Amino acid sequence: MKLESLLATWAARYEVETVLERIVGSASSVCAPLVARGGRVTVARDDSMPEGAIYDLVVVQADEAPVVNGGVAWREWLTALAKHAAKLVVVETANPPRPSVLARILGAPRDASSWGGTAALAPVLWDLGRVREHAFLDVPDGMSRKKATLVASRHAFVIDVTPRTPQARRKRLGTV
Amino acid sequence: MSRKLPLLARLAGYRVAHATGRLRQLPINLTVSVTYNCPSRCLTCDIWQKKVDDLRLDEYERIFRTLGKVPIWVTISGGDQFIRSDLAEIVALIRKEIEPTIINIPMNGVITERIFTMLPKIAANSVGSQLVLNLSVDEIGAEHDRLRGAPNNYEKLLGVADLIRDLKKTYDHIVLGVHTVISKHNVHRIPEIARQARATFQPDSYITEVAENRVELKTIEKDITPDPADYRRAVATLKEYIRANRSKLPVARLVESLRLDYYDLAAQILEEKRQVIDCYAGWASAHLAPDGHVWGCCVRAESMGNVRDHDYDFGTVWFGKTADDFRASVKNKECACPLANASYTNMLLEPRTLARVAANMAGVDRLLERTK
Repeated sequence: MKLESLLATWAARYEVETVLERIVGSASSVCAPLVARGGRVTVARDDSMPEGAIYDLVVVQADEAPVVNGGVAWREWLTALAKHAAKLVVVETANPPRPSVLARILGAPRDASSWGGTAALAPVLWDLGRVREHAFLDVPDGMSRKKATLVASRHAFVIDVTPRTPQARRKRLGTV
Repeated sequence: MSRKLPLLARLAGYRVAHATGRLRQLPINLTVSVTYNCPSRCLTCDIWQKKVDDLRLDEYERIFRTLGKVPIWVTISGGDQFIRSDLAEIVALIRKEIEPTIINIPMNGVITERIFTMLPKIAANSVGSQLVLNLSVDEIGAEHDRLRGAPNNYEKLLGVADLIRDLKKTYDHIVLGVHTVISKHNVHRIPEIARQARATFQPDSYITEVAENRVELKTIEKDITPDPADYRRAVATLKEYIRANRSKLPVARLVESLRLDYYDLAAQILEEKRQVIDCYAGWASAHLAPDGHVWGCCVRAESMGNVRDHDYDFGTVWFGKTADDFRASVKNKECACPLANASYTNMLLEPRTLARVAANMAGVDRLLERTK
């Protein structure tokens, strides 16, 4: 699967009209298909976006942990970025190689602190909302998920941040 | 004794302890019941009527530290565990202090908002163990809601199953299970219930339990246990399904083989009302009640003592005189039941059962059945 088609699928499903694309590093925008279907896309390469600006979809492309205030506080950074999303957040990163079987037998730890790995990202993403899809990118069609987990160099997460209840919606709007 | 003892050595130790009364160990199979409170009003359970002072988080921490990381299988039961707002923290404590291989949570799926908030935290806090989330499905649709005494329960379970499937996309240690209590109310429909539950929920595993008269559940006087012949007919279809859909993965195949043997064991216990194989409740399996009482099993729910009275030291209660009396009673076969949780541990400790399971894994069990 390609990131562009993943975005197109979910944007259509959630009737996305406005997009904030935050790119860390030198990657190029992947939102052209969304523009083609009438979406308004804002591309940002730093965090100087207007206070309180809300977009239907926030796309985060970051191969490396973003450096915030001189430190690697990527959890807080991602949480702050997600607050600009009304419907969906998509996070796309490199998929770090897993330790070999031998390394795991010898006790190699799951790296639960560094950016990019599923073990590190999952708790943070589930705090943002509900992870609806975890896609391994640029692998051949029909490849098993187990194998894709091991060989894919990139992966993406789709998080539904729509408030589930009226109380949560009011809380989000700051009226509680 | 530390967890570092190899499992086979530990199992051998339980057999020695059972035979001689010496070399007693802490249990490898622990059920932690965190509350009796429950919004469901099941026809097969009155546990919600019990009111006790539930253990607090800091009390659990002290208790779990005394278990020496021995339990490899921890079941967190209720009541409805999700009533407790600190359930995710309890799971984190179990993971940190006990480090079990398996954490099993049976779920009724009723308090959905709490489940949707808490389950992702439980998933994160249980990484390192296998987390088995077993949804209780006793019937299909509105009939399930009637048996469980919970409006819209079936619909809610479908939503919870969707959530668990989403969690599995980022947490590969999660197993989605479906669990059916076979009672007089549904025994004749088990084949259809199992078929529809498998098709609808698409679980990684489908298991059943016999509705019993249990002190824990306040069901001693209830007429809920199915007739043995009806039960045998019901599980025959479950066995056929397993045989027709054998996994190629060794671990999954082992679990299937144990399950096949358990169905026969449970039927035989219902028919003969005796311990068909030795029971190790009180040796290898234990139950911690919400108010701190330690039981050998939830069927008898006889207190061996309360950890609150023993500085939260599980071992002091477990190795005490009252516990020895309970073990002597079980060894004297003064009770018999098909409780699934304890039965699986008992089966692991029974060489003939293990031989049958091995034969089943090798595909020659039907040959052995004919020669039985």
